[in-house]
Amino acid sequence: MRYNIVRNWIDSFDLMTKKSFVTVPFIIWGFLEILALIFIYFSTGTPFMHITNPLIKKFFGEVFLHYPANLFIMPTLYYYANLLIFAAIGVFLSAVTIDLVGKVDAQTPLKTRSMLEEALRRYGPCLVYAILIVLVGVLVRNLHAFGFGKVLRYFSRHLPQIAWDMMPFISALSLLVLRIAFYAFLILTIPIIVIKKKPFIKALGESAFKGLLNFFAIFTLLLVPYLICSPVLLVKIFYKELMEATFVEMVFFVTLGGIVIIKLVECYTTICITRFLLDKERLTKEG
Amino acid sequence: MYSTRKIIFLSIVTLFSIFAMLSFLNIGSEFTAERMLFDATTVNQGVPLNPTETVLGTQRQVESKLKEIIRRFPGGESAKQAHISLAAMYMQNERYSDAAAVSDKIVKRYKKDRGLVSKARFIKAKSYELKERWDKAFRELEYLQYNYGDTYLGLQVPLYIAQYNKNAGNEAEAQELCRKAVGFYKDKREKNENTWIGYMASDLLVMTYILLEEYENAGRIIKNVILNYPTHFEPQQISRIELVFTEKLNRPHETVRIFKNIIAKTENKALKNFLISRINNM
Repeated sequence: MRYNIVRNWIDSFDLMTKKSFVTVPFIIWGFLEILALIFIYFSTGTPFMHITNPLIKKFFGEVFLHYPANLFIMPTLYYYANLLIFAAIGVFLSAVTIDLVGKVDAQTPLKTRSMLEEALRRYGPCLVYAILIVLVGVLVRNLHAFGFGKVLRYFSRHLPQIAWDMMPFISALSLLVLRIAFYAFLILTIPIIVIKKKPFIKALGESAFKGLLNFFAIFTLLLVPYLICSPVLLVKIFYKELMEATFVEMVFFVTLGGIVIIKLVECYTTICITRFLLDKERLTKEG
Repeated sequence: MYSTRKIIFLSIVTLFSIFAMLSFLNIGSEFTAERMLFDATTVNQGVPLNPTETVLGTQRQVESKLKEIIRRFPGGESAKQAHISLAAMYMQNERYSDAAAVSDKIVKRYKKDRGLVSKARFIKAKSYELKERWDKAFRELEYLQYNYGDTYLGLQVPLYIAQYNKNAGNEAEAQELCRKAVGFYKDKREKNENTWIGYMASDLLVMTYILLEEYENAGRIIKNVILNYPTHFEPQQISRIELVFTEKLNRPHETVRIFKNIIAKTENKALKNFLISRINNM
């Protein structure tokens, strides 16, 4: 029987709005990312300058210690902060959301303390998973750069001007699609650890296997919500042009808006994937 | 479980408070001064383009912003830049006495910052020149040349004076001043070999020879600069090389040889590509 993707989207949206406490871990994650963004914005000012100025001077150059050049490196600094938060606490928090969705589905009582204790025991596998995802992200980016360059060279003579104008967006979108295609094999790892209580290696193997069997369903479940937020991607790509056309602080607001929207989508897709696993488990049990 | 709305509300309030607290901490810091200076100078860039009443309003706005920076952040780098921007703005707006007054203030206040003082003295000299008081401007420029000869502007003075006389139609005097400039730059070159001043003096010597229409000498110095200062090469020299070797000396092969030499030595990819395109065009 074909899996009903639309039903999953509707149910997940319902759960997100009616049992909104499942989104709390992602709110905390978003809070930490915005906090990091604020610190980066003030990184060349008081009280961070004594620590950050020597680092910025060493890795970017002295000019980036001064306004407005400091704002031009904001997306790069945010990218590194984002990776750090993702590895240190992001995956752990998404595991808490998965646990909440599982408990809501099983209609078991929610006890904050015992849930937190359980979540802390999963911190190790979450950290390993986060590192794996970062490494896969780097691999996918390099693969994309190589493949995209080859394809572009092959078709360059036949492309109209509009395609060249849209090239940064096309490139970012194709990278997103490729990334989701790869993640389709890994994304069920944490839900399997949390819900089926399997160890990391077994969960990783099962995730890859389930990804292979249900590639289309998982890929679509993830891709569509991300495509809906692709305008944010577009704005983020052209942040330098936006800064020049409006005001230099625009980069701060663009990144801030990006955090809010991306966190919403990430939360939603996490719920969708967890529901997918729960539905599959139910179908298996029903025979 | 906790109310999600309450958590969102608390998060937003906390983030706003942290942002406000950090903004407050930076009120008196260089961080804010740089921002204000950037705002003022970007507005100022549009001022001379549109001499209407609204622009007068903008000028006043820029002036008050720059004065505020000077008043609020007296010890910082931004205050120095604000002083210079203010003097330059007065000069642009034909308020020459005000420009000279601000320049004097800079000279008194920032004695130790030779680069900044040389800028202030140059603005003062330029104000006199625009006011058609060349005698006073000349005195200022001479002072700049002999006391700030190790600064970017101080080095340029001999050529600047010669160029002024040539533009004014004083050919004989311009020739004599050019000769003096050649002596000045040769001396600087010898005494400051392999330094930034040596490079600047060589570059200005090339320009002086071009003004004297002594292209063989200019070409000799160009070759010498490329040999001795390969890392200092700047893209604006390309047009000078083409002018001297291709147009005036009619030796395009020399231009190509010099360009190839630069291509081999530079790590600047954009410059490499540009030079390759110039060679192909030739």
